Amino acid sequence: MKNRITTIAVVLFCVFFAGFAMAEDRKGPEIGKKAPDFTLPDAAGAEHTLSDFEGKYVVLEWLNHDCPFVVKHYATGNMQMLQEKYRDQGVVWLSIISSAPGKQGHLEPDEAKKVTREKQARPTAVLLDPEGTVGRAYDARVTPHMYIIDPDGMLRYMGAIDDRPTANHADVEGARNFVSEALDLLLEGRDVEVTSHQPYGCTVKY
Amino acid sequence: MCACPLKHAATNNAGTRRFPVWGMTKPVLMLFALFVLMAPPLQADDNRVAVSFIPGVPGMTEALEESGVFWLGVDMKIKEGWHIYWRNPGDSGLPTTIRWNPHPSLSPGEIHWPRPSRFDEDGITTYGYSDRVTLLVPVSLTQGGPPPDYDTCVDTAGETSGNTSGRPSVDASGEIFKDAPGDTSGNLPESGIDCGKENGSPFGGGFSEQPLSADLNWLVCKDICLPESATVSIAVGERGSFEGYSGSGADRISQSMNLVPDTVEEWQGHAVLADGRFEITLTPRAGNAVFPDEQDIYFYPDRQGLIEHTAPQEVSRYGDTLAIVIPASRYLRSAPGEIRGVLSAKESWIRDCNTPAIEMVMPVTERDGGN
Repeated sequence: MKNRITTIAVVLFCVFFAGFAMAEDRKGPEIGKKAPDFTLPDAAGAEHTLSDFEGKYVVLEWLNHDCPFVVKHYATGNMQMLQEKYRDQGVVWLSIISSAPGKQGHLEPDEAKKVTREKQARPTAVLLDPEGTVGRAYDARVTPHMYIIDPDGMLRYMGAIDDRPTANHADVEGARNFVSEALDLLLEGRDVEVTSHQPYGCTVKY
Repeated sequence: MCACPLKHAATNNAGTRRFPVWGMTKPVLMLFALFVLMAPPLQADDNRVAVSFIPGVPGMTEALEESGVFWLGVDMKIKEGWHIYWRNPGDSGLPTTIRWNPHPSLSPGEIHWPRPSRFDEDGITTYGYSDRVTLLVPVSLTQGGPPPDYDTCVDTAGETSGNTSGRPSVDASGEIFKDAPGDTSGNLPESGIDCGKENGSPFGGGFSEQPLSADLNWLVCKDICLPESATVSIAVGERGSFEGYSGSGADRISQSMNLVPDTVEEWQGHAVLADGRFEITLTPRAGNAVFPDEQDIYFYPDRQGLIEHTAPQEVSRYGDTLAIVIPASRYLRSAPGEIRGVLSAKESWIRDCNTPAIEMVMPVTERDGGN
């Protein structure tokens, strides 16, 4: 009898916490709270850990070079410009590819190196997340999906790159870019005005 | 004042030169055929969506007879397994856009979207269409009209009033009058049109035979997304007739119109935003409102960033009240003043009508949930 009660208690406990964990998982990160830590390899095989960048602002950019919405920002040079501009100001820029093997946008390390060079991209590193673990931890849903983490590891912005949810290259100019707006404010020591905005793009190909 | 009832002018002249191509000589006909064969394709063959325009009336003359506004169907046939997007695409995607080329006689309005379907994929939810959809665009006549025919210019005011064709009519703003034949909403004279331009009327100078054309852009997705585009046009013949008009096309437009949601008098609603959830309450406002089966009810918000599209919507009925609880989007920063969207069900929301989808505009109040 006692055994049975223990079993039921254990089962209930597990069900409760599994449900709790799943609910947390679906919710993803929150503005003003600690951003999930992670370690991912870059195209050269070197590992990068988020918490190692403490003391610096970090931008996470979800990337799929075959997605028309991403192409809009790379073909116009917009993404490269942002990467260069903010890295010059000490910001760490991590482009993360969460496409699963065989799915659109997936790149093996050698391909990732080649494509990064061809696109003249300037991130601190292109990180490979083929299992989608980090993408899911951040609830990254689309490419490009953007996040800004402050020097204390707190999430300060998440969502769209700008306010023009189109794949039209002409829409880059004149768009309100939430990432550069937030970074400019943060680097001046001010608070971010728009801390989140509905992201747009292709689905992340988990 | 001399008023020409258009119907008379049309029937008097239509018979003799109805098929101008028959009068062509053989070499001209062959040349014509050659041009048709050599015409460049208007859209890429490898597109996953084939688009064509369906005129809702045989020509501009008929449009003028009704209310000066007619429906143009934008018929989109989508390759199996692929889908395109509604005005709110949901978690990703893009709605179809239409850029009209200026036309001397015709002025197209905004797209009227049939209710969408819901697609769940890769942990996200999008709203759109698969297989086939016919978007509707109200087109107003801005000027033109049959050349004045003074022989038949007799005042028969009253004989041709209203929409006698049974086809749905629209007014210039695109308001639909599905069940209101005869309602011309003061757009054009109800009982025929002015003769010629002598008194400043824009009508009567003859219709332009310039084709009505537009550049369309859309995003089509399966496991991947591709932006596609096409230039689509509808040829305008003599006396403003639309090439490709058919009864089945007009039926297609009527069918699609049943799926375009309208705001209705029969239902009212409001929403409370509390604890990160929208609690929508719907109540009937008139006796002919009916409750569709709760399990088929779904609320499609008209823009992104309001609700969590992926979340299940809890629908329940308490007596004369329908409640829908939907988690708010985590990208929602403050309560909106109102929430708009489409309430979709399998059955009609109004007795004796075919209205499975209605447009709702609901005020939102914020309630502090204490956390």
